[in-house]
Amino acid sequence: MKKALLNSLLLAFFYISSAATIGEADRLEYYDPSLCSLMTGKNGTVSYNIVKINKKANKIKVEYMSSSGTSGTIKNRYENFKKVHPNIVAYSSGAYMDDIGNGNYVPVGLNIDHGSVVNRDLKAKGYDALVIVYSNGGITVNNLVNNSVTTDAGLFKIRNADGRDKLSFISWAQKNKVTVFQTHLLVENDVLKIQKNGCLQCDPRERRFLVSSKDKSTGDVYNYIIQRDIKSSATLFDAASDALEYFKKRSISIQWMINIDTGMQDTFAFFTSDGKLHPNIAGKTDMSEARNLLVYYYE
Amino acid sequence: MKKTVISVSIALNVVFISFYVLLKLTSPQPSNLHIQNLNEQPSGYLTLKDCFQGLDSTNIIEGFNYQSFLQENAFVEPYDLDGQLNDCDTSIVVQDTVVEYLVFNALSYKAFELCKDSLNLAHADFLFRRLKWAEKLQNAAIMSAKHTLLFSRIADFWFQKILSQVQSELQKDDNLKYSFDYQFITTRLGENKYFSGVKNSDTEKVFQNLSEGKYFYLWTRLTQKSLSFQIVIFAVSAFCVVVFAIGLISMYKSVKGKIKN
Repeated sequence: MKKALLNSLLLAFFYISSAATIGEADRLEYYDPSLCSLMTGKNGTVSYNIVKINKKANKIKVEYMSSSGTSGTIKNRYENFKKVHPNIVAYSSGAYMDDIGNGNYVPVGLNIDHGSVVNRDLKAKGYDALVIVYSNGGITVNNLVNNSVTTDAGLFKIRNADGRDKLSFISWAQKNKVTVFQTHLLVENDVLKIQKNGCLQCDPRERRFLVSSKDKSTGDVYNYIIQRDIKSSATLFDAASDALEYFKKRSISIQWMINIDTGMQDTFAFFTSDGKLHPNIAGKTDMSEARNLLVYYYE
Repeated sequence: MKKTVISVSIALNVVFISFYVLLKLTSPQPSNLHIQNLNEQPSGYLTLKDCFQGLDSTNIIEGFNYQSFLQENAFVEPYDLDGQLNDCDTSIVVQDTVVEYLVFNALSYKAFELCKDSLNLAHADFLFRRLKWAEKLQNAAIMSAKHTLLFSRIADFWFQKILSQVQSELQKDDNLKYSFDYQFITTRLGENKYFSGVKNSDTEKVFQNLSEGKYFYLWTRLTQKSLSFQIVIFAVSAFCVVVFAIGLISMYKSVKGKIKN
């Protein structure tokens, strides 16, 4: 009897001490691996690294940081964010940045960071994708050429000449702590939205796009971060055409495809489901160079 | 001798003083008149209500005389405009939205048509005056009880117009970014959250990256982008390999010679 009691006490002690020592490093899974995978693909001579994210039930959410806020740098802000949301899936630089002198940069076009207005300059041409990241981690893209921004509060015609809807939209974003940025809209509903002679980003360079597609049979929405092989630089038009062709060949219907900055703040990382940084997925620059950041995280 | 020195000294002093007086008289006097003009109030008072005289809800949109209104109110003080609008609310028998539509049109598109030739960095005073007025409207929007959105819309219109104007001028002449007027205007725009970026030439980018210590990035970009740079790198590498090979061969030969001896 005494021996059995001693044994059970020892067992209980062992169980409690082992449970107490399970920490961050011993976690087996940071996110459900069935919701996110890394793929490699090829279209002709061009090869791609693709992060495929299933947005089913919004388990993998999006966070966008367009400014350092009170953290000093984007890197600090990311580190602070990671403390609260440790299950990071991937991150990438987001909107294009404008050099405003003295080493300061501001996102190009209309930009609102969790309801705080960063830049009120609504670009009239070129930057036709208005990306909205909701506080619940959802992401939508609106085509500004159609001049209709659909939100859960209704429709805003923000390029209207009277300016009324632009200001109402900003007020709505401020009230709902929504994050907004402008970038190039490359594809909408499987149709290429940029022109070859438009000379938009006609400098051949590395390219990375964010894509959304909907599986018609299951209704699941997928986000893809598609990274063109760094060795095969291309103009924005050529890279977008190639990527569209790649998806078409695989019968993946694109809802929208937008451009992500790969310039001076080319930051990109992908974490495997066991929380390890994938060695083959990397941007040219370190996180410390990031001026704005698009983060996918599991919750 | 002493007398001569004194008289030369006096003569030189007279020359210097005369020269100084002459310079003082002929040099342009610095004037802050243009700054004073910026703060000038509109002289006349043809108010909004006066412009609606003889108009009713059937002909108000077609019959509104924008030009007369703008002659007096192109830079109307926001508190004055607020008062004029409130006055119309009580005395004009048309919808508020119609009045707001007309005022917005007048103070944005119609005013822009009248001044578009002056809205550029060559007329920086005028550009600044518009900017300052837009800032006043923006601030008044917070204070106005009824016309917040109208004031914000007009302010937004002018901020965007001024921003696109300086951006288009910068596209034509890249060096404008170093001018005081450009920097001053864009700083003020930036304070109101309307940012204009500068485009740097390739050389400027290289210097910028060097100063920021981004050597690895610079190396990647140079090797990736410039064919001529790649050729130079290849040539230098080939030269080094050849020199190294020659050195190795000569070393081998000398060692071989020593062994033979």
